[in-house]
Amino acid sequence: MVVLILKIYLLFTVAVMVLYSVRHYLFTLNRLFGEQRMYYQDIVDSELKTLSVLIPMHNEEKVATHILDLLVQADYPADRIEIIPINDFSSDKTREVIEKYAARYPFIKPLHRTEGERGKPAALNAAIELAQGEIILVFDADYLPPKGILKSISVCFNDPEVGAVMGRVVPVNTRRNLLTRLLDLERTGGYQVDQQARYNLQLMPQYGGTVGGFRKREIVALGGFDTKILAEDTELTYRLSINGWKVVYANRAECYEEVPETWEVRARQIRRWSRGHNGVMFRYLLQLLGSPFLSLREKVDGTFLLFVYVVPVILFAGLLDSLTLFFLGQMELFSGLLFLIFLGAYNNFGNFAPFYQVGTACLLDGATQRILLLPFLIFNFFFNLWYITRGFFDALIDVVTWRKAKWQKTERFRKAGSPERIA
Amino acid sequence: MSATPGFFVMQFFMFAFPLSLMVAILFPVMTHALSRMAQAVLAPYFPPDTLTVVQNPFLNRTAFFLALPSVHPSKLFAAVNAVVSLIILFMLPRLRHAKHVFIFLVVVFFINIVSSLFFTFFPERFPYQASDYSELYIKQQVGIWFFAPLIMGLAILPLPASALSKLATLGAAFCYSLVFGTIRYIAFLFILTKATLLCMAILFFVFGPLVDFIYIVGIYSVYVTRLAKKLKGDFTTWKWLY
Repeated sequence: MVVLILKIYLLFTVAVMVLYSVRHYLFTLNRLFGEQRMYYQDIVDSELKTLSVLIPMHNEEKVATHILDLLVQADYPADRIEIIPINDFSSDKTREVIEKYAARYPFIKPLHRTEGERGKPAALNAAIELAQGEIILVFDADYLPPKGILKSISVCFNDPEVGAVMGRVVPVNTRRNLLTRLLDLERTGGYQVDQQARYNLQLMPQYGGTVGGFRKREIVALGGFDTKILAEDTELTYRLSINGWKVVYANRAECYEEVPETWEVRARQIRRWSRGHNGVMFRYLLQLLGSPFLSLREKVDGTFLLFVYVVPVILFAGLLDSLTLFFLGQMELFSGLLFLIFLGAYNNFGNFAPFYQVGTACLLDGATQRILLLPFLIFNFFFNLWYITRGFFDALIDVVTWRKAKWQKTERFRKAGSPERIA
Repeated sequence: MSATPGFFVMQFFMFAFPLSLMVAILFPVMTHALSRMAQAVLAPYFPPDTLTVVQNPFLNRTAFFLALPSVHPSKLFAAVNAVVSLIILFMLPRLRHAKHVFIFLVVVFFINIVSSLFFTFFPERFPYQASDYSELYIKQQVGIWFFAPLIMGLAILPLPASALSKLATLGAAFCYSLVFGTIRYIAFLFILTKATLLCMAILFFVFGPLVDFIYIVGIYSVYVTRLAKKLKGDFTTWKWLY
């Protein structure tokens, strides 16, 4: 009986891996053969929306000047914009840096938080209360927004059905080491193929919490950000979608970010993402399936997306299962199928993309040499398996014990005063 | 140059599918040849008549494999192996700055510990002899040979490149798979019979299909890199770009 259960589970693991591989393959074919669904970049509007640009900052003295310098030069009328740097319990010189800019630019309205809840969702809630703009845009402090991005994002909100817009994230420190190069590959596949294909196919593009925006009034009406959730971006995507709002992916609205440069920092980041995403999964799965606003295909894709950080857990258990079957002498039937497990395993971790998806994305981007690094994604294999699984169990314990997650900021690597050159 | 869905499907059924079909039809011949080759290479290292090519039913047909003597590890050797692996496992967290390598090594040593403990406490219950592993490997290899052209075909055939270059890449990947599978079979059997059965689990899980996937992705990446260089600046390839 035990052996039978183990065998059934192994077949289930193979099936899950194949299903996710097929999903990503369909996305890849869509990008190779399908038409690109345009967003709203061709709209020229004489009356631009009023914007509040929020920049959550916790000990960001190294990078604060870079993003503020770029935002004050942004191509957007000064009377239609306010920039709210949120100094969230910083203990370094973030406050001084922000105040220096606020003194020079009247549209920079700092918010210094020293009491109340800490963390990005709480900081955003506090800033939304102050914000005067119709549209809220959010940038993480390490991001380097180009001049035209505010217009590119805000113009989408002329469509009354659009609740949130997500731009494309491009790593700026790609050349640092192997890890940053691999993360660059993942981002390329994730945005150029995955997000764009989901937008093309009218599925569920994901709002990523930065390089994007949402309508202020509607988010306030929906209760703002849930401070118990670590993945406030995924949570917002699902909350908007199940309430009938559309999320738009703006591939052309590129913004540069700093990706982790050490495996330790990456481990913490991916574990936190897994914890946050799975927290959203536990909370929103039934609401997603019961939403009257979503089509069947949106629900199916939304479910796939919700479970994306459960897949490594299933695989982890599957590998332990196959090890057990091996020592029980029961692997004969499955020996050929193991290859399929590894096919899926190699491909489907979190928001990471399969090799054919990354290859296609690089091709579309006109990239060349970096494609040769594809086999090195093997380094992510056991690494992600381990840390995503740990994040899953963190989320499970959060749900069972009503534990509240503490926000952890990703460490910055950039030196103060020396922003990476935007290529 | 530009690919279309119809062209892709046609190429898939003309190039990739026949290769997999060939494996499905010819695997008895292929496994027989592989076993004979392994027998010829390993013969000098074994007493006469100890290596024989045998056959068993597989997927309603016959798979051939090499039957050969086993060397069971002693209990002492297995116990020492477990202790050493355990010590290394506890020292591994020192690799703080190379967590990707650390996790991989943890998996390797974890499997080794499980295997060592098995041979320490239940050596008589270890379900495989070298011949059993040999059979398991052959069946796994047939699976890899079958799926490799399909996966490679699905990956490269939709790309906007000449049919000839795609066919050549598919063929190269398949040939590599044949050669690599053969060399690995011989190497694994040599290790298991001349060293110890203890490392069977590691060979199966760590250096098995996962490694096959690396070279498939490697060949794909070389092909796409060359294609990307060729297409660079040619905006007519992606008509939706303008």
